Amino acid sequence: MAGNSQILPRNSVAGPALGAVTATMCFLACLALGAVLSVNKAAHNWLTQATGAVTIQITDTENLTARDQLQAVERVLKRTRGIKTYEIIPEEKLIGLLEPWLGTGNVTADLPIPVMLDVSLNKEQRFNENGLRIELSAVAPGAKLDTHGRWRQNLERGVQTLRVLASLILILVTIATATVIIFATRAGLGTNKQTVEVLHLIGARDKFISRQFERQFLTLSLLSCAIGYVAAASIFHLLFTLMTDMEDMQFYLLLLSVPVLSILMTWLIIRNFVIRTLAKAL
Amino acid sequence: MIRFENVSLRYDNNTDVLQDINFELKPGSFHFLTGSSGAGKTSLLKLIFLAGKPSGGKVFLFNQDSARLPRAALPEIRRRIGVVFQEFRLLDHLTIYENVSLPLRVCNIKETQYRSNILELMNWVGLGDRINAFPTTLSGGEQQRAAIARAVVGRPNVIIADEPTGNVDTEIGMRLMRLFAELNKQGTTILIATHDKQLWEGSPYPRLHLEQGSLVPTYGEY
Ligand SMILES: Nc1ncnc2c1ncn2[C@@H]1O[C@H](COP(=O)(O)OP(=O)(O)OP(=O)(O)O)[C@@H](O)[C@H]1O
Ligand SMILES: [Mg+2]
Repeated sequence: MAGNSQILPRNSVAGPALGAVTATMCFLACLALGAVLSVNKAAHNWLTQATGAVTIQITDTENLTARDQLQAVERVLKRTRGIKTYEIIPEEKLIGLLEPWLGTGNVTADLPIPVMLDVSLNKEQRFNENGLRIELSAVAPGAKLDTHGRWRQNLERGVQTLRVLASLILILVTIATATVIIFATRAGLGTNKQTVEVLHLIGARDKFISRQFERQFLTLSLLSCAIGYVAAASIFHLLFTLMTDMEDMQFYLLLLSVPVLSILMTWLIIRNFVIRTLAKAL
Repeated sequence: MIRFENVSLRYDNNTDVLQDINFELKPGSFHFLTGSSGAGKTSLLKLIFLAGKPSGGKVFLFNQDSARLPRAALPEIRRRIGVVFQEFRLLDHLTIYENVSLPLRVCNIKETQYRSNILELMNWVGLGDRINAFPTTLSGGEQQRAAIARAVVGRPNVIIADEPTGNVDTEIGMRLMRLFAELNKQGTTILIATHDKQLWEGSPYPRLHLEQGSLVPTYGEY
């Protein structure tokens, strides 16, 4: 007898089929957004580690030995902006790195061992990679700067591609969901035509009738979006347990924007469509 | 209160269902609308409860031209007119209690404010023990009384009833007539469409008689 019971017949507007579609769409959208978020973060982590340091390798040239060039390189490094410290990797350590391939004791004095410098960068200052490369080649033709630049470019390109793909998926999922909801609303208005007519004739305003539709849709989309979100979040949670440093509250909060926006979109679409249709009714 | 001026009505592009209708319902009046089946009674009533617009002429409701009412003004007008539809039009998925309280719900009135009124009204129409039943489980006469209860619950200024005694025996028919007479005494303007001669014969109320879409003079007090 509840006076607040639904006026439209249960499931006459938004049935279980629509619920399943909404849940699936929300799940897919969460996956797409979550993939971008986590790859962004992984790439960021990797890049900050990788760009915190560069190496310089100095080899003998025809008329200069590596040792000869070292002083010039050091002078350049000292006056270059963005460099925090540098350290010459001791020869024993380099030999130690080579021995597994060449065998102990086989690294002889006449084997040309390059001089390696570990340079750590100061993150607050801009580091001009190309400027340093040019200066080095001027004073030390055997010096080679390795900034992992190609790695970084590849990585960034990969992340970018994924972003575009995910945006595409999000757009498609949004369009598909909106279309499904519009069709469901139209069908719901059709099945409830008689009820709507009676409501109009006893003095209901369009807004009141629209609210009945919104209510049924929103109850359903709240439930199905929750299912889609929880399903996607659980998958990410499982993935993150395999990776360290990846899981945080912020991720799940950002992911929450998918169900929130999707419910908001559903609501706006229904309201608009129903009010517009009713305006042409009795 | 309600005035028809040279009203005609045509469905689609067929012949006129109503032609040159002129009459006025004064506040507090009680009229019958008679005529054989197909004469156009329901069509005329629809123009009053705003389920249609005249093809020609003017219908004035509470001194406003119905054709010129903005859409936003329709609900207020309809709330002042209680309608008993010929085919009842109860909502089958709602209980009798919910059906009867619907006109109040659409006005956003809280249940606590109307609950006891509805129960009283349901007793009055003899449905006090059927409040939680669904319309399809009720007899024709019971549905008719539920429809009447829904029409009067919002205390409208005007009650339009289309064959309100069509599905009940003479005795119940007379009881329902006394109900309308009672409401009329309280000031409600009433118009009852019927082709049941027994209903209006011997009653003191004037009669509008439709024949093939036109009002024809009746003898007596009209
Ligand atoms: N929606 C409609 N479209 C087309 N023609 C209609 C429509 N409604 C009614 N008519 C026609 O208008 C005429 C009058 O119908 P109406 O329902 O007004 O008669 P009535 O006097 O109420 O009859 P009854 O006593 O059987 O209820 C009929 O010939 C009917 O076929
Ligand atoms: Mg009729």
